[in-house]
Amino acid sequence: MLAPKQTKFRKQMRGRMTGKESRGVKLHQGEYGLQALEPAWVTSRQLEAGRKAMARSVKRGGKIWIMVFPDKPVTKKPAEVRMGSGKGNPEFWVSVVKPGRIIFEMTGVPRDLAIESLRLASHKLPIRCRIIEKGDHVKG
Amino acid sequence: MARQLTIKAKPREDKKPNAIRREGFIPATLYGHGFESKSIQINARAFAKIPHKAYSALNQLEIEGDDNCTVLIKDVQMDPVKDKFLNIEFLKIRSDEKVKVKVSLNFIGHSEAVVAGGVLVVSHNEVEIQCLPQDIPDSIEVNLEEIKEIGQSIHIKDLKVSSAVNLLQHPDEILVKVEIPKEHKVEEEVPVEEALAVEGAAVPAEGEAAAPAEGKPEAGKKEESAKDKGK
Repeated sequence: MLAPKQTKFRKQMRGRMTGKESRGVKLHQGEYGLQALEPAWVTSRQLEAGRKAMARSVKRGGKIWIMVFPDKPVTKKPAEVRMGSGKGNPEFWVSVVKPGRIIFEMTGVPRDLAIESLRLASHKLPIRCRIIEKGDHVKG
Repeated sequence: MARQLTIKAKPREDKKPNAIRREGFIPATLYGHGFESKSIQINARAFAKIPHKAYSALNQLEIEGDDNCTVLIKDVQMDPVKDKFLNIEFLKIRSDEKVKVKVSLNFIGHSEAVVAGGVLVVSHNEVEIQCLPQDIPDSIEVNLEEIKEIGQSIHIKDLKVSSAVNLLQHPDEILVKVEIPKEHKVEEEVPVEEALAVEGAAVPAEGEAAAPAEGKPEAGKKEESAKDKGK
C-alpha cells in the first residue's frame, strides 16, 4: 500500500476540503481517467483496492497510474478511552481529494476494457466518480 | 496556417462575473503588448462550438462597436466538474513580435513495436513553441513508424519543424515511448496478524524520526492508552 517513507511531523490537523480542485484535473499520462466528483479522504487501502480491481480486469498489457498519493496521517483514539490526554495515534494514511481531481489514469488497452476497469475501480472509492477520455477536456 | 475563425464579443456589462455567467456569457479579457486591456464577454454556446485546434491558431475577434483584431486564445479556464467555461484570455498579437503558443502533435503511422506487443505511452499531446504569428503551424507531425523496438522513444529533439519555429521544451524530453507490457501483479492478501507482526518488526524504536511504511502510520504511545483506561 502507498505510504510516505518519512514524514517531518507524525500528526497533522484535519483541515478543510472546500471548493474544487484546480490542479490535477486534466489527463496527464493516460488516455482514460477516473475523476472525483465529491470531496473525500481517500485511504491508501481504497487506492490499493482500486488498483487491484483495475489490474485484475486488465490482466495483461496496458499501463495504470495512481495520480494521488496518501500523505496525510489520520489519528484515532483507542476504543473505550475517555476524551482528553492528547491526540490519538496515527492509524492510516489518506489523500485529500477535492471535486475534479483525477485519481487513476490508464492507457494501452481497448476503450471498452478501460472503461469497465475504471468502473470497477470507482466502486472501491468512497465518492462518486466519472470516467473521462482524452479530448473530453479543453487543452487536455 | 489554419483557417481563421471569427469570434464575436461585446464589451463587458457592469455586472459581477457570476451574473454574466448566469446570463449565458463568459467573462473574457483582451490584452497585448502596447495595447490597453479590455474587458469583454462572449456567448458561451458559440464559444463551446470552437474546435480545440483553434486554440493554437490565429482568430479574428469582432467586438461590438469596436475594431476587429487578430488574437490568440491564450488561456481558457474551465470548471473541472461542470465543464463550463469560467474565463477566457485573448492575446492581441503584433505581426512583428514572436509569440509563445502550444501546438498539438499529430501522431501518424503505426509502430512495429506496438504490433509486437508493446504499450504506446504518449507523454505530451502538445509542445510549446515560439515563432512569429504567421509561422504558427497547424500541428507538428510525429511519425510513430520511427519506433521499431520496444523501449525506444521519440524526443522533442526528434521533431521536424521549420527553421522559423523554436521549440521551447527541453530537447531530451520524451514525447512518446513504447514500453514493455506489464503483467499486473495482484498480490495475495496477507492475513492481518502476519502483516502486523511484520510491521511491528519494521517500526523504528524512536517513533519521531520516521513514519512506518505500511497501514498503521505509528504504533507508539500504547502506554498512554493504558493510562487512560486506568482513569
